[in-house]
Amino acid sequence: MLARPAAAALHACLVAALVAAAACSTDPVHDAAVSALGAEAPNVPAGQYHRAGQPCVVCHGSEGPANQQFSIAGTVFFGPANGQPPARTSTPVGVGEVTVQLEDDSQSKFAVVTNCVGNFWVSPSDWSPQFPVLVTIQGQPQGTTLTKSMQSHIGRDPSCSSCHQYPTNLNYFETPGLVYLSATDDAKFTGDPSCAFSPVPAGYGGP
Amino acid sequence: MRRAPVLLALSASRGCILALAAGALVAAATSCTSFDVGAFTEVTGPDYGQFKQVSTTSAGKPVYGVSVVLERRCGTLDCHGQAGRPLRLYGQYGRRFIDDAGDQPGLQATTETEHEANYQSVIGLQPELITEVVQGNAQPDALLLLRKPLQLERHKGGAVIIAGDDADNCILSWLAGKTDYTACTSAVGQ
Repeated sequence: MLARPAAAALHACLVAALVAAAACSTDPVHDAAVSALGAEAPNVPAGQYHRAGQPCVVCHGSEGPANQQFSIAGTVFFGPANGQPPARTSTPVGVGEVTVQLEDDSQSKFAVVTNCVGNFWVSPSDWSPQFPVLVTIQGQPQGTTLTKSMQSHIGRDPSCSSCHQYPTNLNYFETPGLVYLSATDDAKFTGDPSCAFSPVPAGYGGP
Repeated sequence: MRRAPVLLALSASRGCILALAAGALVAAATSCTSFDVGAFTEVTGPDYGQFKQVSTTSAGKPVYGVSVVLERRCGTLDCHGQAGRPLRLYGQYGRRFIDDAGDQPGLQATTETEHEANYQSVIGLQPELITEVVQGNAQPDALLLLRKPLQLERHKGGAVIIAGDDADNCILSWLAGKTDYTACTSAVGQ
């Protein structure tokens, strides 16, 4: 029989250990994926405008750490930002008011509109697709309606930018580039001037 | 028939080599016979020409074989177009083979090298069993190549092929030695 103070101390230790265990992720692969995204950009608080171009559902999935879960999420940019002529720009610019039309394997359809930095997200309570999913985006960033459909389907990854990454010499063979609306870049397009945050992601000329 | 040594198909997998080495040690420890390091299993795969088929009819319509069906159904970048998948697939709309061509996803047509790599992936998945299937000693639905997409076994990508659909008929006919290109071409368009 333990003395009452010793038993209380043991109980407290057990509770502390359980709390610590519950607070820690048990998936080192997921932990590494979250860590690889880095810290928040200093001038963009966590919220709907943050981390444009990053794989949203790494954090906004069932393993967290974000509180809100998404069933599909991503960022739509104006052009490919691949340095091709005539613009020769390599700056990705997010584009707002783009309708992202989704259709899943059961032919269930859902549409969502991007915010002014190009981010969009779908909550599971609104739509939980049965993969594979087909996607078409449509918007009028410069007055003319532009429409682009994904050539293949989304197999199962709910984060667009898991595949759609900023193209570099290290990943050209495994990414089709960003999700973009216009076939070519245009240096004159700088995004929505009324947007509270830069439509250029941090690290690419943004905050 | 195209013949490929099984060790060639597995050579890219360090894990498999380690597993083979471990298996050899166990066999040596538990058996009176020694392990013959020079031995290899000869694999008889289904026809490669029918697998890689990409052509056009006189009317200009495309005719596809098995490789393109697998690329489109299974080889997206978030599925078997990923480097970590056991059945790694390359192609125009998925992962590109890293070579001097410098091809990018979504752009250039699938290359001969990529068709070959896809064939190696398919044959290397269960080399002995696919040999048995080709020789008529096992049923095609014993292969993971069909069991997974038909969801006869757990498949994280779900049921991407339905029994009796064009993709199923395409692969079955290829395994039987006479590819139904009409089914394959139709499966690509779905």
